[in-house]
Amino acid sequence: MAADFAGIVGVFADLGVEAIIIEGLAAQAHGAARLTQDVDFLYRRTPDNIDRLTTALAPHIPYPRGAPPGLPFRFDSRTIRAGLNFTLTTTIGDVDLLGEMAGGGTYEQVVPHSVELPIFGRQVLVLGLEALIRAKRAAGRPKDFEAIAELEALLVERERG
Amino acid sequence: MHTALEGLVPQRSVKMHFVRPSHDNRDLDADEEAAILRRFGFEPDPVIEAYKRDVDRTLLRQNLKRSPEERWRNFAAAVALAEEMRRAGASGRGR
Repeated sequence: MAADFAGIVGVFADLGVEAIIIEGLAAQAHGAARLTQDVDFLYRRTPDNIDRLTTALAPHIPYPRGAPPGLPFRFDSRTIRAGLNFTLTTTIGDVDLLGEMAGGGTYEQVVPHSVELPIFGRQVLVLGLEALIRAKRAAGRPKDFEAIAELEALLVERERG
Repeated sequence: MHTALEGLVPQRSVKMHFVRPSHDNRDLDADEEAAILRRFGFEPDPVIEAYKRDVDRTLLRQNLKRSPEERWRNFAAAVALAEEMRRAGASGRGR
């Protein structure tokens, strides 16, 4: 299903979940044209925030993406504390929850490099363009080469004005 | 933990450009682009430069004239369209 971006951003913002939008949707916010289907969040791994995160997302029936149906998966704070990164389907679209991002680190390390943008009536933290490029360059994944090329072109176009 | 973001100027002190001024739409040459990248600490990478030839700058320039919310709304519409095309294709193949 196509992700309901406003819905996903809204449930996090309404409950005060501390999370930064990274990857494809962050690139979109900066002007990229490449499509992505999921929303990637770098979330803060404090107990309170994990509680808020699970409260926000649980009504939307998160389930591990690509896993066979019927697994005894419980989306609760204990599960999130025991793991780190989760790729999920939900009733409002695919959501990736990352405790650490490749090339970037944790929420606390990344938050100084994020920007607060007014989107869908809320203030949303989004990874900055320069940090997005730097993290993808550092991760060195061949699948990111096209994205890096677009992001660097975007930086040049933004700055040349 | 060491991260690639160390040494990068924190974003909150950087002015965001939501609506960029118009310019002549001329493509910059490689040296001009490299100079801009180096201002941000990025040394041009020959592999990435090869991929860059296929980037449609006209789409990026259009997007830069929009607000972040407009970008997301257009993007959501494009994703919905792609999803519908996939559904139609699967239906046409009898799946």
